[in-house]
Amino acid sequence: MARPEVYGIRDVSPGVQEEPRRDLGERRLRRISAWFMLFFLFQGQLGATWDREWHAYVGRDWFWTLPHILIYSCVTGAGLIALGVVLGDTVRYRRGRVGVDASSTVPVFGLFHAPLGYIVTGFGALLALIAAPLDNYWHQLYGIDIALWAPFHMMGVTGAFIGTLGMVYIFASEAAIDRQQQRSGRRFLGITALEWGALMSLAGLLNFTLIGFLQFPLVSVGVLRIPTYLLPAIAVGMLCLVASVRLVARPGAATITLVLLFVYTLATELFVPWAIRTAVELQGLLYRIPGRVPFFRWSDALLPLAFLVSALIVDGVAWRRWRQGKKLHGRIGGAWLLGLIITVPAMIFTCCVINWNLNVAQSFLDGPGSVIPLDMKLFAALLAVPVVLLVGICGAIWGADFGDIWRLNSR
Amino acid sequence: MRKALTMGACLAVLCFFLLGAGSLQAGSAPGQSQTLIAGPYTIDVTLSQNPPFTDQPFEITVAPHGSNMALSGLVVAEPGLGTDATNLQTTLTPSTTTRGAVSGWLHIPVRGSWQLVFHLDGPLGQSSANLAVTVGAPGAMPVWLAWSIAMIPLLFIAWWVYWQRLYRSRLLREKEQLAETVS
Repeated sequence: MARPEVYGIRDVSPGVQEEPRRDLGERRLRRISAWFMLFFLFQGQLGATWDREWHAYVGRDWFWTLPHILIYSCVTGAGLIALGVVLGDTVRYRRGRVGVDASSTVPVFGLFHAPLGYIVTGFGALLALIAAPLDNYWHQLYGIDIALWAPFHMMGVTGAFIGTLGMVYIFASEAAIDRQQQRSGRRFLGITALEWGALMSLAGLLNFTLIGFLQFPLVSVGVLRIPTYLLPAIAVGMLCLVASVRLVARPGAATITLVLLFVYTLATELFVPWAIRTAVELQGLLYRIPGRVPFFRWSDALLPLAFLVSALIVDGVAWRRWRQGKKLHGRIGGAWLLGLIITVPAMIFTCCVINWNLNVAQSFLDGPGSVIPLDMKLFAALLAVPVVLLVGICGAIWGADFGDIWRLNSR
Repeated sequence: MRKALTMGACLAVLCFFLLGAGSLQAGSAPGQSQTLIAGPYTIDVTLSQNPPFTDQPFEITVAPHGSNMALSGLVVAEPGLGTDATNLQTTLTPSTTTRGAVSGWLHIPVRGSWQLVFHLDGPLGQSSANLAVTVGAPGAMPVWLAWSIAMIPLLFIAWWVYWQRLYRSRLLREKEQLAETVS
């Protein structure tokens, strides 16, 4: 069995009568806020996918489309909650309330004292809100199809990414506080509710990448056009899988994150085509291409399959260490090697799944009917594969770093 | 802290002017009537805002010219050459302000050339007419400035990743010290 973690005088023993909490008010404030924010995260991601499909099937007819309302109400809601907790905890810190001290908050600008996760999430929400009018302005100037690679789209996406990352900090720090106070709590599959929240946030981070990655640009090399979607997909995929295991310190966490991601993609795929058809009918709108109506696609719902083999490898390695009684987080060498190994299947399967989804093979052709010689394809592969492997290694190293931080950080 | 506050204030001022510019220009032009021939119908078309402005709703009023014929139909806004947008439409309903006229509201999301196509239905059958409009927008920000503003968060992420590496080392050190104390 794995070694117990060292946190204090006695071990965590489920079933042992736990002392009543002195910091109950603070824990309630942070945890209730966290679950509300997780709800907003789901809502925002549903809105983001809906918006992407709305662009493709209907077109951006004005700023206040239904998907935009879903996205920006989520950003506003999450931002306000984060602001509330940051301000509330600053006041509570100054009043010396139990549970709000230097071990559970970080100072910001020497003025505020709040949990790191809420600061990061609030900053992400603020960025996304600032980007919204600027993005609308850019659309007014340059049209509705400027897609992801417009400056203020990137700003909004970065804000959402930072916000989602902050969500992981929020749940993980609360789970760390429970571990430090030796409170076991109820577990499902050996994972506490707060750790489930952190894994859901990580799955959300990966889902967010999947939503946008088909929009990434093509790099032109002569007549070849190489899609760059693999770079964000692999980087964030490897980060999330490695971080999952380190955060929970249990084998199986990577696969669980992937199952959660599958639940997201399936629910989204069930909802979005129906929502577009219903909204178009109710609002009397026109489809961009008459007769091209959205419908449920397994190829979208099964996108997480691209990472299944990689997740199983990560969990397999973790399970082997677990059986040998070795730790699953902390100073463990070889994160880069694990990254290299798990990037190979992810790279192959992502290409297969995307080909099934979109027939991206066509994007390698300069135009319909063009024939690309084999040597040119090999050149493209030689150019792309090392870059993707490097990105995967970086993703795994970052995953190890962030996983450890999420495991240990109580601030 | 002062730098961060200054940067935030600059962004807020920029947003204010970008949004403010739109509303100032949008409110500047009164409606003007134009006479069009749509098959057997001669109509007077009035736009409540001429030229229209992006994302500012404007009313289109269609009145039969020199007659009392009851008209109905719809207006489709079609993006012109070089305008990246989709068709928009509004149904013409009896106007509440002009007697015998029909009207509808449109908001056009993208600047540039547009065609307003009037599909009319009346006692003399169906017909259509076109009216070209150029939709205005706030002044364009230089692309380099837009990317500079948008890339600021990426600098934050780069700094964050670096700081988190240091923070991880600190956390691991703290944990090891605690383990030594306990053992």
